[in-house]
Amino acid sequence: MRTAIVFVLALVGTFVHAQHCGYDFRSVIVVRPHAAGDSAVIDGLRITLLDSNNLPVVHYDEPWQLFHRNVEQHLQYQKDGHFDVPDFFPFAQDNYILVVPNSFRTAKMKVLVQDERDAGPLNKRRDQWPVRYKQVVVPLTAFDSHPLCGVYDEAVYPAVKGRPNFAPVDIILYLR
Amino acid sequence: MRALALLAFLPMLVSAQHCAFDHYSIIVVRPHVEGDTNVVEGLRIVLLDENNLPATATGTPFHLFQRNTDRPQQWMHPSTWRRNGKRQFPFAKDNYILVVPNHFHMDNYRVLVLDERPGTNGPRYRYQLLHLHPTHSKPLCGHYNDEVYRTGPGEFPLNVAYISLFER
Repeated sequence: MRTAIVFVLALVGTFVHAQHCGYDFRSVIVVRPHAAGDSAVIDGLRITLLDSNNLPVVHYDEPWQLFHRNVEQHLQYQKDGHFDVPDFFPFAQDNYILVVPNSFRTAKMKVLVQDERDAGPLNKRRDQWPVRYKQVVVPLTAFDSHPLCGVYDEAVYPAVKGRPNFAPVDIILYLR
Repeated sequence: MRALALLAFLPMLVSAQHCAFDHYSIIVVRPHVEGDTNVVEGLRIVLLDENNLPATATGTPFHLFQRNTDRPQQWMHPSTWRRNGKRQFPFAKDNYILVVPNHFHMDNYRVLVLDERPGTNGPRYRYQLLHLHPTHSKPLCGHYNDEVYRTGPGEFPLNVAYISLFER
């Protein structure tokens, strides 16, 4: 029994050593939804990662998060010593991002972009329908998830041998 | 542009429309916990088409269910809702509802129930996918004000889709 415990403890030591960077075993998917003929990112969209059956991705019974804007936020440490702030990566600029495990096979996944923004008080008062975009589904490729280990705080994502250069997934939206 | 074209057709449509909610049907779903018939509040319920994508008709989304007791955002004036005892369609009680065009063939559609409520207090449920049956959609024309959905002889009664939810 004691040898077993010692053995496990020794293994823990190697694990700790092996983890040498933040966001180890994690990758990021970066998408840039914009209107046709306008390169500015549209804020407030609902962007879901879909699996090969077009259903939202579930990981160990938990639904995976939605994409969020890559915005730096300066918040206080939480009590348990963790940052409770959304992820931020300088190289992803003002796009939408989603951190996923390296094991996600993005070649089979898709991204669903929906415009479910609130009409806003002015539109509601005037009883008018605001400008809205059609939903789109964009298939991803194997190179759309970018490993984060060692590069999460880089201003420019470094070129990796055997991979195309970093570029966000371009998503063009059309009006309904 | 499309909106303009639609507006141009509006007078024609209005004259042809002989009842409220003509050409539209309703889907009623009741998500509940296994062993409890109470409706679970605050869920995101989506209608998916045969490709499992949120349903649309010519680019217009028809996919997000709302509570029948919620103040209506479209289709109905809030005063009607208030007159109906804060129910959009009285026969649908406190369930979740979705108004869809009649030409949606229910065999090709599914309902996806997602629990995206924020926070960690209380149980959170796994997502559920339910394949619909043609009896799950009922035309609204002449029925939207029914206290109990009336069905003629040989017609299927209103089929509320009961969806059991399980904890994660």
